[in-house]
Amino acid sequence: MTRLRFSMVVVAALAISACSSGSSGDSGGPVELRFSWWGNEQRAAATQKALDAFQNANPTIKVKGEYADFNAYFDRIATQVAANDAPDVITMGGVYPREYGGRGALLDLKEVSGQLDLSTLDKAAVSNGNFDNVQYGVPTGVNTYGIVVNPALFQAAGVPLPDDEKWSWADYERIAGEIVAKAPPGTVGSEDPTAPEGIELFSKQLGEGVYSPEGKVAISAGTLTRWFEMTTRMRNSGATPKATVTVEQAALSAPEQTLMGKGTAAMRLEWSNRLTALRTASGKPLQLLRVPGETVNKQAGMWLQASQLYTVNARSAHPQEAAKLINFLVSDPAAGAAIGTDRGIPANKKIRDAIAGSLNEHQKVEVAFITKVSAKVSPALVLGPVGSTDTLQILQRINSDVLFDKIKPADAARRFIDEVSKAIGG
Amino acid sequence: MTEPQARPGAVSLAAPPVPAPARATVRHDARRRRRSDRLRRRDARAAYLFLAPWIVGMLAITIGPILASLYLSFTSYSLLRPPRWIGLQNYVRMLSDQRLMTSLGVTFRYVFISVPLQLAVALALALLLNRGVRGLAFYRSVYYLPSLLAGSVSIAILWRQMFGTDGLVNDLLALLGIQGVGWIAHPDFALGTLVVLNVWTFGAPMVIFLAGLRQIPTMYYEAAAIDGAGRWARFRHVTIPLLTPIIFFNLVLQMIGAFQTFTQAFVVSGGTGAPSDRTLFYTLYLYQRGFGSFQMGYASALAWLLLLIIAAFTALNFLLAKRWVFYGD
Amino acid sequence: MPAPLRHALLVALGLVMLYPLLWMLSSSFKPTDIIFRDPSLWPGAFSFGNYVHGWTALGAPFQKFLLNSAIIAVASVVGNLLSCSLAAYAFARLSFPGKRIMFAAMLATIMLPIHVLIVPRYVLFAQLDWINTYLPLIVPKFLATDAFFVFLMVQFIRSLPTDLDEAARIDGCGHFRIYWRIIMPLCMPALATTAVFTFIWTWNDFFSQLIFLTDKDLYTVPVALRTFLDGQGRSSWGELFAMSIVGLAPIFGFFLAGQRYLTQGIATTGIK
Repeated sequence: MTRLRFSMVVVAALAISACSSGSSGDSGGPVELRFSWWGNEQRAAATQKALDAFQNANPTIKVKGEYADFNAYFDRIATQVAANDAPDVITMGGVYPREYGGRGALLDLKEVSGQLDLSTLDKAAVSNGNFDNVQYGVPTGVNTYGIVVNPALFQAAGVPLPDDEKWSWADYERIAGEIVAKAPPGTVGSEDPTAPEGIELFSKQLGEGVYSPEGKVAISAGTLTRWFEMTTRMRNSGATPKATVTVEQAALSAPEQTLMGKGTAAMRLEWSNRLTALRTASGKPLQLLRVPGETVNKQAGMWLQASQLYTVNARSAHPQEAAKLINFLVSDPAAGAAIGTDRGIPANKKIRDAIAGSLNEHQKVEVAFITKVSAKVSPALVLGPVGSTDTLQILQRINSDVLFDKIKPADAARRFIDEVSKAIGG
Repeated sequence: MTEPQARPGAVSLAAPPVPAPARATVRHDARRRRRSDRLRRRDARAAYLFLAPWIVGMLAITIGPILASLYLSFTSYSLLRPPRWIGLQNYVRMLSDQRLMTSLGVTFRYVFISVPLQLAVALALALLLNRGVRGLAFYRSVYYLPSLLAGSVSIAILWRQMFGTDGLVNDLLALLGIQGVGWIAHPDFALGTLVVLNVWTFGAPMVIFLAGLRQIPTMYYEAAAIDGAGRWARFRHVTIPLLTPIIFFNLVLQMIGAFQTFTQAFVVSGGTGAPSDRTLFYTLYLYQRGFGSFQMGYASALAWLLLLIIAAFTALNFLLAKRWVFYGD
Repeated sequence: MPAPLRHALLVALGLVMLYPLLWMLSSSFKPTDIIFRDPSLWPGAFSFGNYVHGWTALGAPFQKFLLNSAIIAVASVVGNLLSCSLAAYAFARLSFPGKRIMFAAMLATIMLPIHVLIVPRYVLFAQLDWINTYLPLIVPKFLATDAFFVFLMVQFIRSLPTDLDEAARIDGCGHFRIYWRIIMPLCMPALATTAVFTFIWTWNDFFSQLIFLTDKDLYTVPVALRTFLDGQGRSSWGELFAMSIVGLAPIFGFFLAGQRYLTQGIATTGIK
């Protein structure tokens, strides 16, 4: 390892008895695995139950869990991977699997296929862990990006809920305006819909999508311009919140702090697995709908996505055992019962059916929605290439400028394509 | 950068200020010089003993990672793959990095506004609280409390309760019939609210000022009183001069700290520098490059540019200190 | 300024200063679900549920995290007081070859942001097999790596008149005795400041504790507090605020204890 040779020299002088960080690699003897995920204590407690079940079934394998909250988690993982001290099983999500896989930090799961049965899992979700024809991740569950509505506010405004088998983006814009006009003051028709997922949907319905399979920018300037023109009109009419409120929302995205969570927004584009949190926060029977434009455009834009992926560290000393653990987590009924829908609706049909009876009312709504849209989703999502972790912030920056009228929609569109191309091209 | 000024009259290595000797005492002087040589060697030996923990820490813990980051600044390093030597490319890339320029602008404005402001408030409060106010300990504690909170996860939420679109400040303004804006999120005010946040946490420099005020020996005040100096004169000619080393300390360290402002900016904007990079502090940008975009090589180069900038300003501070800082030794 | 006016001013300022803290205190008594829906300062009903539940919600009772933080913080205080004052004495009172360079190097070490140092440091401590122990957080403090406090004490020592140590030297005192018997007692305010800040800053230092400690049994207060949060799903805000208040208590207590020594410098005892 040529990296950090300076500190190595220093270390060599100091450390006489160091250098035994790897676990004892004797085959046959007890193996200790490290397994990391992000999330709060409730998730940790559920996960620990699943791990206990695994250890009972495999007495020679001991599993140590490591967790932290989302942002902190990825800082720590990056540091550990850099120092060659990463856990054996690493939970990944969002755009990270491709960043890590594309740079060789994750194991090609073909090498451990003896321990891992992917055939029982939802195809679309499994494909999320596959890129450049290598399977890097196993989906923990599925998720979809839809629109959350607050029926109470629709009712208060006397506006009927839209028919999500028919509505268009123009309907969405009109309805948001009607709600603001008729609902009690302090209500907004919709939160600002600008997010990478939102423009993915919008452009995919037109046959574009943000990225092409070749890893280039696919979305056209015209499509983006239309998007920003729509959001600008909505903000000017008061259908969406003031610019400063939207910017504040982007900085603090915990469900409880969103306008939907506070019960003051009638519509919000959102991941389906946040429904429970939003419902609890708002205290209202929020519903999930298919997004506008699914049936009236060239194709459907919504997709099923792995909510999280279990991956194996490429430099794990125990890849077989790691794969065994993953297989247990996604396919064993005991693990399924312990984890429930905490990591998304299970991608394994058998598990999904097994836990159906134990779901609470919020989770039932979520499962029903996933089941409803699974039959209607578009071709699998094209994951962002290496470098696409920057897209979110690029979009937020440009959107701020649009919100404060510092830039025209057409220029915003061009700048987005420019900056994202640069981020994923380099 | 220079060390704190050499002690006037003390033996300095570069040019021992031995008074010009009269010819008649040359032999005597030589003997004295031998003795002072011996003393000096003994002093140096003692110094290295006193510094032994520091030297060990420097060699064993501190210097390795610093040199490693210097090395990494000449590489392309994604964290996930071994670094690859690319010479000066990272440094060349900085020249055309628009966001780097933005972050420099944000950081300089912040440093030059918030540091003097915070120090002025801290010094004023320290002076006010030093003068036998009843309930001194109580006020001091109250004013220090915000500093305990400053780095916590909750500060983002708390600050929005103050300066958000629906925050306390706007509620108060509404009472006066003024329609406020969302201060934190507004491009024209976002940086300003972070300056306020920094001033709000003036507790640390205030405590250091208070400690400095306590350290001023009472004999100086007594002597001044005997000379008939009034309160203002004592303040002007005793308090302030004797406090200058502490003012200098706070200035240097607050400046070094302000150039590296991270936590508060990170939590308030969610790490984005929102709105549109108006709060993109230098270290926030560096963090985004290193951990967000997996460009640790470039981030290291950015860090070394920052080191040069901070070192230059610190050196300037030490240079100027010769004109206004008064040491007892 | 007349006293009543001065007090009025101080109180008004105090209220502004404390508003966010009061808001947090009030929220810690509200159920999580209404904290953001009803952000008023006075809770509709007081409930200690967040404290009761928060104390045990993290898998281990909260005193465990308090104890872990206290171990690290107290050890750091001891380390910094000893090592930084020793180094400061050398820089402030002795002349020796390489002093300028060493002093400059010391200051330079605090000019690099931690984010580019953390990976090399992790490699270093991993080689020493120190990950998941408190050693990476404590040992450096015994080696005067906190340049802030070395410089702080240098400034305080240099503002002391040299008459006393010169007198002691003439009496044949060695440097260590001068340091221990004369300089340290006179530096009480500086030592108290160092102790208080070291304790508080160590207590609040989230990032390095997060990186070097992955075993939950070793978690400290700030790392543990984060596990109330879930960026994606539900966060336990009420419990977070309640336990944040609990976590503030020890550092505030330490501040209160330490600040007494801030007022007991030579100004009150005088120089004989």
